[in-house]
Amino acid sequence: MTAAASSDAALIAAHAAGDPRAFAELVRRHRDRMWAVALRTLRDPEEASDALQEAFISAFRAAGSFRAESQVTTWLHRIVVNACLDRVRRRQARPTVPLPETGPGEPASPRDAMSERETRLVVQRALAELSEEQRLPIIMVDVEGYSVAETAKMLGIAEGTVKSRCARGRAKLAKVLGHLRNPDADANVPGDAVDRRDVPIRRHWEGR
Amino acid sequence: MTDSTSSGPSGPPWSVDVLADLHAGALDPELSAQLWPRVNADPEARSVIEALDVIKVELGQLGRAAPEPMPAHYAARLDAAIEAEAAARRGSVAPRAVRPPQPPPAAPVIDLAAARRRRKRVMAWGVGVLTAAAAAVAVAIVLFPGADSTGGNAVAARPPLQVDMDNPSAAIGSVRNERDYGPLENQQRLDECIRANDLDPATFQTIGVRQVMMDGKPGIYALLTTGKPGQFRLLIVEPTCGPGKPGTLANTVFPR
Repeated sequence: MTAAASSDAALIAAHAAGDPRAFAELVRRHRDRMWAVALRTLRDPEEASDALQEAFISAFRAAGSFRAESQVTTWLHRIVVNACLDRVRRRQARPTVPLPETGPGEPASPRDAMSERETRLVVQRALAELSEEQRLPIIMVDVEGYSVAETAKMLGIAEGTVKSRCARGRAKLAKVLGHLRNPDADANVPGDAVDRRDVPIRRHWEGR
Repeated sequence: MTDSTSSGPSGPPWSVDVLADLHAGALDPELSAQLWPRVNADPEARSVIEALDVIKVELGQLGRAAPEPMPAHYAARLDAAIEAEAAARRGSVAPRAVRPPQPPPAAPVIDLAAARRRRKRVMAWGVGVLTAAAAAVAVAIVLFPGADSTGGNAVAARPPLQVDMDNPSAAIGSVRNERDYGPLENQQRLDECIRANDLDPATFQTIGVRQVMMDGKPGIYALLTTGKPGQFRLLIVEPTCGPGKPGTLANTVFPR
């Protein structure tokens, strides 16, 4: 088989059957996206790199148990997220070491006329201002697209806790990113990080 | 919620936290049902809800955006790890070239002299292994005179890795992420050694380094990047390697 032309599922099957090149091709296809997931979750490139190695090696070894009814990307994604969450837990078990991030209260740059890429960078920087407690559920639910129930299971917390942590995290992001017309309406978020501006209304009604 | 809290969080002026809880479905369903009509009727509250919607959209865009490429040195490290895993799997599945003679599957009738010759070969191989192991221990003691027997020096307590000259790539998994410089002591001296082998350490960056025994000779095994994703250089040198003394035992690209 030509590895480059095969589907992900075919590569997994080939790898499980002993094809020595199949898994390397799978890694080549997915490593950038999985790198983004790991870096978003852990923020530290060294840790993200280590987590990704652990994840791909565990996928290498577990490929035989992959079930074709699920997407390879979904399967890999979950392995990567779990490897990252393990590291977060280990990190939390150690004495607190401050992580590199933008300082609290540092204003987000003005967002008018920003390219999509710049907007993403600003949002990423704002995410780094959240506590780990709020950041992880938000990354899982809003960025990676896991359900509240899946997130609760992976983080080992109650669904209600996921919802309320997401809520508080989004509120802080809205404030930091200058999305609130009246940022002083709440005392629980810092007021000095606000770039006040009119909010572009994008309707994105969700089930509520 | 009751009207008695109208100056509190669940009515104008609205608390952003309460609106965010409402938006996230974190409130009691009954309370939510009461609050939504009031929120929808209040432009200020409505604008907060819309701002939270915007945040969710922007966060979703982060996840869907085309990813930035993984930095080359991390990608190389990952490729090395996968290759090492693959090599380990190959090692456990396919018999290596250097193996003690295996007994034949059946027991054919052979003459006594042939049987003796074969037994001698097996014994010679066994003695060779023991000799090599003893040599490895002796070299370890010479290389690490300060090592004690209490495990105080983790690197010294570990015998050098055995590397097969015909198949040095099989050891990649045991070298990656190691920082066992041995007599070279540090990265700076390893870089000098890399230069002595006509390689630029800026391009041929060290992924891992470990002391080894290669076919009975002590050496330093450096796993290096090549600047090409998925390709590595395996440089094995004598422990005396340095400026003007390349001491090359093996210098090969993997995969070729």
